[in-house]
Amino acid sequence: MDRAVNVAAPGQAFKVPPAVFALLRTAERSIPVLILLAAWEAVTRAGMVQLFLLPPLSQVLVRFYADTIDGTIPHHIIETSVTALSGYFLAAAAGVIIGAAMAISRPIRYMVEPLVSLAFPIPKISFMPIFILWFGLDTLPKVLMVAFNCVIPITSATYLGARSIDKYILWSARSLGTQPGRLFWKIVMPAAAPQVISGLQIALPQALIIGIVTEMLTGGDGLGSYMIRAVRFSDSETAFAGILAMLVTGLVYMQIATVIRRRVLRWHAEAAAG
Amino acid sequence: MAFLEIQDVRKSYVTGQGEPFIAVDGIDLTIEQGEFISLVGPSGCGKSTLLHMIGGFVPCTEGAIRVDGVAVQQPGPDRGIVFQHFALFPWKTVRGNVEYGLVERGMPRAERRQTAQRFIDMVGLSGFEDSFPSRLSGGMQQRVAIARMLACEPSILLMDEPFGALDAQTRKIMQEELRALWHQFGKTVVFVTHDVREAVFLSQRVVVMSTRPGRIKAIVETGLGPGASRALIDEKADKLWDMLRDEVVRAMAAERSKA
Ligand SMILES: Nc1ncnc2c1ncn2[C@@H]1O[C@H](COP(=O)(O)OP(=O)(O)O)[C@@H](O)[C@H]1O
Ligand SMILES: [Mg+2]
Repeated sequence: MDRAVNVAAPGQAFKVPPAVFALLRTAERSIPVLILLAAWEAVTRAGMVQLFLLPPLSQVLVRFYADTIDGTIPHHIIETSVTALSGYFLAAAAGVIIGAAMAISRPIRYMVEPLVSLAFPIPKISFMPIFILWFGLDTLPKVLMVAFNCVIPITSATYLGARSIDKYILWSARSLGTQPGRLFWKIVMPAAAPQVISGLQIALPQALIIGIVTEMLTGGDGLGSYMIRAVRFSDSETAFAGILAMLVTGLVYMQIATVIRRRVLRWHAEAAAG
Repeated sequence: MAFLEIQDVRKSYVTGQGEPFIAVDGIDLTIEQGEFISLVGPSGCGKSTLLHMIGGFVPCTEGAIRVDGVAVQQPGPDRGIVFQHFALFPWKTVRGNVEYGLVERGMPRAERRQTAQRFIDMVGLSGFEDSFPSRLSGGMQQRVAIARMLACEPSILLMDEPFGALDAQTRKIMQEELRALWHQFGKTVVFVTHDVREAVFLSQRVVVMSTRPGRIKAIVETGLGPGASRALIDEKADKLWDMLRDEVVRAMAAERSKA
């Protein structure tokens, strides 16, 4: 009796709610980051680097806070997001359609597959001067650049997902009365959803990166030009505040993407476990 | 005229080397309505191939398969099939899977729900309607596959080693349930297995196949009623196994010489 209680007691005492546990886990995982940040602050305070090259973290945070309060950073984040997400959704629509078309049609596959293979390894951003030449310096070339970059991984993920369908699943549908012409949308695309979504997930941070780089190249508004402009005026605190803003934006994007993935792929073993 | 006629069927594939490979040859078999027939034979003897041809998933190279006098051209809901690895739709719930064929048939929603529920209950999956297949055990997934097939009310059930992936206990229970279902509905069943005891327990006739190419070696009437004793089943199974043994040994030797 006594023994049973004793055995049970520690387990009971340490029973933490899952939410608290998750929080503790996150806290634990952020220790290396905190160490890095502390080192940053210490090194700059100790005068070991030129402050112009690396301002102390505390001063960067002050700038970040000030520019957030007065709306500067939010404005640039929105600007960048509009560019990145417009291009991204354009790429998502085009990529899924092109990838699906490649899976369905042999002539389309014949035409498009070598182009995708060719485009896959090259740095798409190197086309930016051409895009500026063609589309000017406004938002359009940035959006198209993002789309051009993101359409490649989305197309190839959709195509590969649609091609890798298990023939027995197709046969099941046929024997349950589905006509061949309807198989693609009723069976192939839902079955390919995990791969399609993986492609979309891979492309999302790329959209942000390309969006920011195009802003650095063409000016206008947005986080990229916010940072480049700061550097031109030798304002390194603002440049680092821009990096912070980028980091926050990127984390929020990825978090949203993860939530959407879990929702859409509720049926998937991996999503269900995660 | 028999219900399901398989007439001098041959299937050959073209191999990677470009030579024809004969998977099954000279298959002649007639199956009566309401009959439960099993196919046994060494692996690679063409059991699945034959089932897939009856299902209309792959065409015969020669010969013909007729259901009720009509040549099989393509798959259809009159011939339900359960594949060895279930082939459920993983993005649909249990209910979604079982309703699938009913949706395709255009059955109104309320009626569809009710029909699907009846089959879900029948295979003992009440309470799991909203679960996704990835959350279910192998035995439960197999039940979903069976319910999905039965919901379309096919006149022929094609089952390809449906219990092959199950553990021994689950398999035994599923065998008993399948036999009960068959007694209840009296459908025509073509059942592929490599387990002779399972074949004897379930079926009225057992087709023994030989390999390379797959041919019918013998057709054995089991003649066992539903109340057959364990001893009787074992005795029949042993006899059948004696017949099959040589074939299996020969198939294994052929595998080895190929490797
Ligand atoms: N699509 C295919 N292409 C080429 N060979 C095949 C194909 N499907 C089956 N086969 C061959 O046909 C033979 C019979 O296969 P199968 O019907 O699956 O045998 P079983 O189900 O009895 O194990 C095997 O040798 C197999 O390799
Ligand atoms: Mg097989």
